[in-house]
Order: sequence, then structure tokens, then C-alpha cells
Amino acid sequence: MAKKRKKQAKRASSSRALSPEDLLRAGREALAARRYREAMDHFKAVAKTDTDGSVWEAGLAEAYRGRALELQAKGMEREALMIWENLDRLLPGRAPDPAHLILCLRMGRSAIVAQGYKALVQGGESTAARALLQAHLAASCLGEGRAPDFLEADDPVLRDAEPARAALEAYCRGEEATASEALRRIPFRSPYRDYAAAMKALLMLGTDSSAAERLLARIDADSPFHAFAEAVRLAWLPEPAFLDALRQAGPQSRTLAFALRGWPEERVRLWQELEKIDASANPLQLVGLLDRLREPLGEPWARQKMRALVLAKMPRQPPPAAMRAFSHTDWNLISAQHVEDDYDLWTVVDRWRTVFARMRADYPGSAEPGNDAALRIALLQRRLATELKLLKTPAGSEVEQELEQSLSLDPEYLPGYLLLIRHFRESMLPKEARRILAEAQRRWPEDVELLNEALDLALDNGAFKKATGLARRILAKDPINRRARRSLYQAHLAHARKQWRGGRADLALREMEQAESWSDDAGGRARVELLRGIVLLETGSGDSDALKAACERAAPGAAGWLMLALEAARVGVAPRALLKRARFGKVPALKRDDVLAFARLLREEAETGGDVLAEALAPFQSALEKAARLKLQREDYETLCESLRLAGHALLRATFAKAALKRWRGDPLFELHAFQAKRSDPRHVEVTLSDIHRLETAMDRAQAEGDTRTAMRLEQEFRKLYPPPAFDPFAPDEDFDDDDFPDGDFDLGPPPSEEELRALLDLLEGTPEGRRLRDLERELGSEEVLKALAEAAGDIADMPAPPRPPPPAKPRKRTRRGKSRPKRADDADPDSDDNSPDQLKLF
Amino acid sequence: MRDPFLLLGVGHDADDDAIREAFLAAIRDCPPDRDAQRYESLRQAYARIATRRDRLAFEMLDREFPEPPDILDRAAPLSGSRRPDPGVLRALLRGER
Repeated sequence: MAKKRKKQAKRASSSRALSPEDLLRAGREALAARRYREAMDHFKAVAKTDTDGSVWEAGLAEAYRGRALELQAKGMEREALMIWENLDRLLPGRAPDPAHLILCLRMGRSAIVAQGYKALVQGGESTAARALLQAHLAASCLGEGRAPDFLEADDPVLRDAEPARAALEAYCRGEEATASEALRRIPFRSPYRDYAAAMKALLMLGTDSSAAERLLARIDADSPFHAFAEAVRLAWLPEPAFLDALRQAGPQSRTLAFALRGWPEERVRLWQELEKIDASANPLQLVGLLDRLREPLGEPWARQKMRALVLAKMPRQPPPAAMRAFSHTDWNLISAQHVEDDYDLWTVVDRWRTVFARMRADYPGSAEPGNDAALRIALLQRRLATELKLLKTPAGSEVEQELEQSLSLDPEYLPGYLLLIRHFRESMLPKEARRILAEAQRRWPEDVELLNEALDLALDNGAFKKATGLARRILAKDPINRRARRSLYQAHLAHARKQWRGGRADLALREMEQAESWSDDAGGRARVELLRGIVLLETGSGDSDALKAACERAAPGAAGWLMLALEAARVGVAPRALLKRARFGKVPALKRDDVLAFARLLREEAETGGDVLAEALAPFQSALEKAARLKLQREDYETLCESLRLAGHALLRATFAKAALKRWRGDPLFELHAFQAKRSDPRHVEVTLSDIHRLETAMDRAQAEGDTRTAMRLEQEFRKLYPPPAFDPFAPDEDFDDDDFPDGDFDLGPPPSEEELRALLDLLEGTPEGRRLRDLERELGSEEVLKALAEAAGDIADMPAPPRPPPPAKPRKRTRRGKSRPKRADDADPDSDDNSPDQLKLF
Repeated sequence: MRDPFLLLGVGHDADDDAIREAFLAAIRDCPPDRDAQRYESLRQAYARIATRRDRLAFEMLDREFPEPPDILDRAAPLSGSRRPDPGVLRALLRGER
């Protein structure tokens, strides 16, 4: 209060110090800046000195009006009314202000309203003010259910009240035609015009939303029917906009919307409950609700959604509701999905295999092909190959087995067969591919996709005549089948290479002609021309100029040379020797276009699974190393590093990554390439502290720069170095079996000496355990703590061996072909510390 | 993302044909040029449950959180529009929100 008085005194003293002209100017400035109280003070100060009201009256009235509306907007209606009354006392006899009268109407001061309304009606000069007040009187008339008694019998407010009221009541009884008829009786210029528009929009509910919106848009924000119109608009909103708007709506608007949209009581209560849950911040809060509503929600759906919620927050301890609701299959599914992104390959495969085993046990009849249970298992088995892409990993053999089993569970799923056939082809297992193809063709003998696979298999097998026959069969069914045409081209080209390697240059040249006729692009023809050039040069019937010209036509510059080198390597001709024989000379210095063309060729070759890249690149190694010093764009380096990654050329990839890092120091992407290239080089398998520091810095920077993809790739590198622990709520019960492991003592060596224990204390300095030990040391003394530590260490040494982690779910041998899986760098080494028992909790 | 079954207005036991019909009917009512966003959600919903295998996979591997409208529609479905009490309209006309 003292502060307020101080402010008032300050404003008054500032007014006293000014001349009347200055006061007027200051008053107008304050008005323009909406500082109404200040303006009021200035104009009142002028009024004290200047008797000529025309100078200050308008300003003072405007300042009072502004202040009253300001207070009204804040909901301080009593205070606003006092301001209006003060203004009337200061300036008696002025025309009534509709804003004042509307406030009086709301506050039940009907005498003032009656007097003001009469003055407005009789005055006739302010039609807008009168219309506004009449609309408020009309709204009050409908809202209160009775008309003000000061209205004349022919007053439009009174005259149109009857049809307006009739429309409202008829609508609420569900008599739409009566309501519409009543609304038609309200004239266009009636005070009930906005009301009629809102009612018409209400009657349109569920039919023409755009027409309804046009009607509602006509109602201004200062109309007394605006709240009503907003409530109608809310009821019209489509979901989910409706749910968002509902939060801001008042209770009456909500009640109207709930009724019109058919919300039963339980839905309203459930919505209120949902509103209290912040699912985006903590999804687990929803689990309890879903558990409680499992029956109305539908048991499978509730569990499906609960699994999604729990999975998102793994490995956080799930809420008790989930622990109650979930079956073993649910947990196994969550556990398997949880490990998919971040965990090591074998954990992923083992978790999914546990799911399959559990589902077979849980779902009765899962052995019957084609039923839902069988399809579920088959879907998940295929998923290892399709979504998780684990076929080309060291666990490929296991995934392959699952994929094959999926065919027996879901034998009517053609893409499953195609997937396996292609995998076997790519794995150079044509016999297996043919077996699956035969199985599939028994079901779908004329399927074009299967015929295409048969064609590719024939090509793989060098059965070129068979391949040609198959291609013609496909083209008979589908004359524009590009794949068959391309396969035919490849068949003839491959046959040409075979004939050349077999010493039949004449037959090779004939095959090349055939290949050329099936080729549908310039690149294909250029490849044939290069092969022809090699054959002719090697047989002495061609010349180097023709070969050089063919190279130039295949691709300009050094890229043409690389194409030639690739083709030579494919037919067993040493590229370096060929270039020398054909007098190509020294490889020219590579320019930007050359290296980018090289990157494209490397990618294409890598994608076709070619194994001649290293040999073909050898003549260009030195030129490429020099090219790394070119002033290339950042995206060029990115393309090159990525292409070299695909081509598996660690040395050149490291060269380009390092060159890029010289220009863009610490760039996360090139740090990643440099690290991966170094790791894939067998000479650099060790990871140094410096490597880890660089990776950490790069990851932080990638995250800070919003490069999520690189950050994730870097994080994966970290996870490979430090795999996180897995979560499996059933692991202790299901996976561990003490009987599987022989008992025995661990040899932990002699008990630690006092110096070693002190060194351990120093090492733990700063950690929570270290602090607790230091506290104990202060409390009990150094000797006691060291003694306790020594005893604890002795206890460990005397303990029998605890159970080891379980073995993999199934043996990982390629039983069918007798191949064992390659050893992974991150596989657990039985002799390594990783397999030692968990550290006992000493503290 | 809304539950595809609710969005297409089909039961969980609906077969491929019923789901396709529901999808076609829904896009007839709401073609892409009228409401592109709704059309896209319908298309995505259909893609998720179009075949029996899609539906089984959706049931097992769905990672979407439940949307409040889905929970409401399943646990307390709409019971049909009803007329408001005149008192509610009068309150709104008095300016009560």
C-alpha cells in the first residue's frame, strides 16, 4: 500500500511541476502509450488550472474509459465500475458509453442501463453503440430467461426474443425443423443476428463444416454471442484438434461439446484422468491405466500398447502393473526388441531365438503350418533377415536356419522363398538355392519372379543356354521385363568371359555380339567394347589405339582406364600389365571429376559383389593417394570415404579421411571414417586412449551440431568397444542353470598386500565407494579398513566358482555345410576377463 | 499415430477384404484433394494392417504409444450425439464459458 501511495504521490508531484501545455502534451502521450492512470493525473491537473473544459475533457474521458476497460479485461469489474462512476461525477451529462452500460447490465445495475439505453435510443446519433447494447440486452434476455422491464413493447430486443427462445428450446428438444423455422423468423438486422448464425451452425453439426465455419466467422470477438459461437466451434472441431482445444475450453463449452459429440460420462471421466497423465514425459504412467482398463480396451490391444510403453523405457524397472499383466512371451518380445538397436549381434539373435522357443511353447498348434501361431513365429524369424538384416553377419547361418524354418511354418509366403533363394545365391550356395527354388516352383511354377531367380541361378552356375531359355520364357510372359533382358545381357557377357578364359576367342566374340544386342544402355555396350578390345589386343588382332578409344567412350579420363582395369581383372588379365602392353603410359594426375567417377565405379562394383576391386585399383593406388591432397569439397570427401568403405579399401579410405581431417579438423564424420578404416586394417586392431578421446570428442560434436546419424554411428563404435549390460527379467530363472556348469574354484592368486590395498584406495578416490571407504577409515582407523578389505579379498579367493553366463541358445556351427562361424572381435573370449564373475559388492 | 483399426473403423477380426473395403470407402469420403493429411493417415493405417501377416506383425511389434483418442474410443466409445440441456446454452449466452 505504501508503495502504491508513493507512486501516486510521485505521479502527482510530476504533474504539479509542469505547465498546463506540458501537462496536456504529457497526458496525450500517456494516452497513446496506454498509461491511463498517468494520463488521468495529467488531465486532472489541467482541469484544476484551466476552466475551459474543451481542452481537457475529451482526454480525461478517454483516460478514464481506457483505465476502466483495462480493469475489466483483468476481471476487476467492481473497480472498473468505480472508474466509470467517477467519470460520470467528473463529467456529468456526457453521452452514455455502451461499455459502461454493458458492465452495468452484467452487474445487475438495471437502472443505469435503462437510463443509458433510453438516452442512446432517443439520441439516435450512435447506431453502432445502440446495436451493441441491444445485442447484449438480447443475450441477457435469452441467458436470464426474461427480458428487462424497461424495454418498450416494439423494441427489437423484446420483439425478436420469442422466436429466439423458441429456437433454443426446440433445438434442445431435438426438433430441428421447428428450431429452423423459429430462426427464420428473426430478421437480418435483429439484435439476435449473431445468435441466429451460431444456432444455424449448431444445426449443421456433422454435415457441412465449411458452411458452419463461415457462419461462425461472422460473429465478432466483442459480440455477446461470441462465447456461444466458440462453444459451437469447439463441438465442430475434428479430432485430435478437439482434444487439444478441450483443455482450454470452459466447463459450459465442454458440457455442450460432450453432449453434441456423444461423450458418455465414463468417457469424460477417462479424458479427465488422461489429462492428468503426462505420457510424453513419462510413458510408464499410462501402463497402470491400461492395465486397469484391459477389459474395455481389449486384452490384446492393452498388452500391445503396454509393451510399447515399457519397451520405450527399457531398461528402467517396469511398473508393477506390467509385471502383473505380461506373459513370458510379452517379456521375451520386449527383451528381444530392446536389444535390437544397441546390443551385440549374438545377444540379438539369442533373444529372438528365445522368443521363438517361448512362442512355440505358449501357442498351442504353432506346429500347424499357416495358422496364426505359426505365422507369428515365421514373421519374427523372417524379421531377422529383413528388418534386422542379419543374414550377412557372422550370425548369418543361424538366421538362415530360422528363415528356412519360417518356410515350413508359413509355406504360402512367396517372398520368404525369394529371400532365401537370393541369400543362398549371394552366399555362393547354389545347391541350397536350387533346393528352395524347386520347393517354391512346385507351388508357383509359372511365377515370373521365381523364373527370374532360376535365370540368375543358371547364370551363376554358368548354364548359359539354360539361362537363355529361361530368359526367353520370361520375356514371352512379360516382353518388357528389364530384369530378364539385363540377365540375358549378363549371361552372354559372362559366357564371353568364360569362353575367353577357356581359350576360345572366336566364341567369346560371338557371345559379345549377343550381349551387345540385349544391352539397353550405353554403359552396357561400352563394357562389351572394352572386353572386345582386351580380347583383340591379347590375341594380336587389335591395337592399343582402338582400346584407348574404347576407354574414352566408356568414360572420359582415368575413369575409362579404371573400367578397363576392372574388365581385365574379371577375365584374369593383370590390369597393370595390360595397361603397360597397351602403352597407356603413366596414370595421369587425377582431377576432381576423375576421383568422383572412381567413387561411382567402386560403389557399382561393390554393389554387384565384385571381388576384383583391389586388383583393379592397384595401378591407381599412387595416383589416388596424391588425389587425396586435391582441394575437394567436403561432400566429395564424404562420397569417396563412403565408396571406399563399401569397396572395403581401408588404406585409401584412411588416406582420404585423414586428408579431410586436415581441412575440417575434428569433423565427426571423417573421424568416424578414420577410426573405422584404422580398425579394419589388421595392423591396427588395438584401440588407443587417443582414439577413444577422438571418438568421444567427435560424438559430442556431432550431437551438438545435430548430426544425429553420425552421432549414432559413432555411438555404435563405442558400444562395440563397451557393450552395455542386457536386461532380461527372466534371465535368472530361465537361462541360468547351475547344473550346466561344473563347480570349481577360481584361482585369484595370493591375497593382496597392504601396498596393493592402499593403491586400490587411491584408485577409488573420488568414486562413491572410495568416499565410503575414506569415511570408514576416519571412523575405524586405517588398519581396520585394510584388514576388512584383505578379508574380503580372501573370501573371494575362497569362494566356489559362481555360475558362468549361459552358453548361446543353439550351437553356432554351420551344420549343413560344416563351416564354423568366423571369430568376431567382440565375441566373448573364454579366457578374457569379460567372462569372470561379476564383482562382488563389497561396499 | 492413431490405431489403424479404429481409424479405418474395422474390428480386429476383420479380414483382408473387409479392411480394403473400409479403406476404399474412407478415401472415397475423404479424397486426398479434400484433406491430404487425413488421406495420408488412412493410407498409412491401411498399409499397416492390409494383410493377415501385416496384422499379426502389427500386434507383436507395434512400438507406437497409445493415443488418448484411441484409449477413449476403445474404453468408452461415443454413444451418439444428444441434445444439450437448455441451461447449458443459456449459461453460454450469459457469457459463461
